[in-house]
Amino acid sequence: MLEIKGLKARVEDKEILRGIDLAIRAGEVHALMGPNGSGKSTLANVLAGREDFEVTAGTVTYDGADLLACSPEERARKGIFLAFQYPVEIPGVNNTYFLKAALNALREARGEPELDSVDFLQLVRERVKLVGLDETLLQRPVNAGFSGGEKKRNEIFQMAVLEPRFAILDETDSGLDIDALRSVADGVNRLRSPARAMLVVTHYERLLEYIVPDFVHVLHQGRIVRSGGKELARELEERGYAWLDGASRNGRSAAPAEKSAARKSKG
Amino acid sequence: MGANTLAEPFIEDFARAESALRAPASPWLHPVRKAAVSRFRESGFPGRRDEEWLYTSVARVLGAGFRSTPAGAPPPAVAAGAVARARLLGAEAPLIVFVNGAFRRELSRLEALPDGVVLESLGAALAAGGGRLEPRFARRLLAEERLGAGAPPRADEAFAALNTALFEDGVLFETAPKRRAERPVEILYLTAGVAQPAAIHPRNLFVIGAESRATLVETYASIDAGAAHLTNALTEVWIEPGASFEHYKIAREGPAAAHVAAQRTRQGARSSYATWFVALGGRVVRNEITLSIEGEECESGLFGIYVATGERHVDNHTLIHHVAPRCHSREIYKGILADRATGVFSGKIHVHQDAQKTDAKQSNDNLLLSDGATANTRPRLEIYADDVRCTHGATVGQLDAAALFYLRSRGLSLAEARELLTRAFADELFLQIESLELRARLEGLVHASLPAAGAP
Repeated sequence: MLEIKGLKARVEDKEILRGIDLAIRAGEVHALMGPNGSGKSTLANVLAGREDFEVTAGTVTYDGADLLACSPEERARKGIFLAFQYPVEIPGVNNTYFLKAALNALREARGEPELDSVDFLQLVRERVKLVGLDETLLQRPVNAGFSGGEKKRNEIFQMAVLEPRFAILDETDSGLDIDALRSVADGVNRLRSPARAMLVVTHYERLLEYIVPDFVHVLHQGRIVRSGGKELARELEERGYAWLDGASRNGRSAAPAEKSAARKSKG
Repeated sequence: MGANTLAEPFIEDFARAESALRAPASPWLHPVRKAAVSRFRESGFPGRRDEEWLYTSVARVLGAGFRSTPAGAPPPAVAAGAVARARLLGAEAPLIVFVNGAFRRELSRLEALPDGVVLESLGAALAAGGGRLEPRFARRLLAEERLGAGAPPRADEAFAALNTALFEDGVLFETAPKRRAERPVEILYLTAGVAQPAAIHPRNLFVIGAESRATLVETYASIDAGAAHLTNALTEVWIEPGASFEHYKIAREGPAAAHVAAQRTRQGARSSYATWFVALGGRVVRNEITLSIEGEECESGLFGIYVATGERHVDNHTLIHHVAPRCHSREIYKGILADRATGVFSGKIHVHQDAQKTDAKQSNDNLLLSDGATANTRPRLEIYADDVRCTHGATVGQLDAAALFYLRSRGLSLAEARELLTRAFADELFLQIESLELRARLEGLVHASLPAAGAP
């Protein structure tokens, strides 16, 4: 479904992705882990078409076609979805109105008829339960005044309505308490299907206890340095990321410290 | 400053029209007109260095020049459809229509007025003997008396003086004390079939009686889009103690029109006032609002939205005098500017010495949709009381890149995303309107005026 070869990208003068190779087939869930600043979010955003990043080398093909030549909306219409790490607040744009416009844009691209208001509302009611999002939030402006957890649930809710073929979850677990994490993960799991692939970007193994991946990749300094099965996530949980860079072992003690703080907040 | 060449034609207009303008039943009026024309002759129009006209050139307003329409010109035919299209409110709402400045009873709808509400031709009221109007007419605001600004003629009052000298007609709107006029009324000033660039000077007097409540919508529109004309309007508003008044003014004249207007409002104690200015058309628009809050415990809201494309120029000029204590004012102006358009906001809040416990907030936000568009914003505070809370803020920016990407990442095209965000910028302001129907109608009007959303 998706094939990344030798992908390099930078923002301003700073090279962040330094040669990524990754192939994802339909039905697979891949986890992308790594310390802060390793390039995880950059890869997620490059795949979704964010223009702040400049691709300097490599290719990304999706269904056999060049993905990098597509605008963000073309990618969305081909079935790519990014659940944002920091969902954007858009005052003045009604959540439901926006979602209906988005869904109808995707349906048009798929050659399906527009959904009328009644059918749309029925779909919304059904999917909103899937992620445990408070339905009254749908009448509010997009993400405006939402709590961190509500924003993340809203991302997964949008994903449930838009039904992408390839979903990228960018640190969807950050800022969630354990109950919210569980219900968001439940929502994601229900969307798993043989026709759909996912790339789950996360700093912590915690999320992967709920969304169990088929493959785990470790990103470090803009390169995938290890790939393995789901047991690799467990190993990272135990060892932290410090082993990735022996030379700066002491300087990178931040990752395990953050991790233990996160685990404490579980209790 | 002295007389200038731009002023001469207007002085000639007055000399030519003077006898026709006399209203024998209101003998007090003519001396007021004579005084106004002599003040205008002395001050002339404001120049480029005039503090209150820094961003708008009078030469640009006047263009190739405008002349008052000669009295007795035959009234142009107007199709009922043209009136309906210009309306904001539904067909059942009371309506008074003027075409090229002249009252048109047959196009108006005045039979549906509730008891205790007057909506009529001011010219007719003066001709019939408007003695009771004299104390309300062309009066200085309390704030200006206190400032001692009465003496020498000021160039920044030139257009207002011209209106007083030359006006032929306009609207008298009155509500009796304790009269709650729940249904809004509507005024239409239409311009049609102007043979030569015409100057029209509409004059309005609104008196909202004590403890009464009223909503009024006032639209300026051109029937012939290409017609060049100058609208020079002056509106005096008296809001008596305990009254509540919502006023919506919409300027959507054609691309050749110049619109200059001044609105002067006094608020009595415990009154509430919301005044909206929606600028969607016209080649050059200059709208002044002077509000004098003269009684205690008033609520005041000044809201504006201006949309300009092409080479258009919109200048919003507001001055709020907090004269009395414990009053609360909110001012929000928003501009959407595209192509090579210019938007100006100059808003001054003057808190007088006795106006303790004043709470005044002002903001002006501008959205620039293209590189060639310009926004000038100039908030000004002058505070002479010590126990007050006043804040102001201004922004000039473009559509938020993060929000655009977010919308596009969900499948909306760039054009759709831009349109959605531009509408949202405007719609936020309309949340201030309680009536859902009015809110929807104004939103629709503004949305239809937004520039086609494409890449900049």
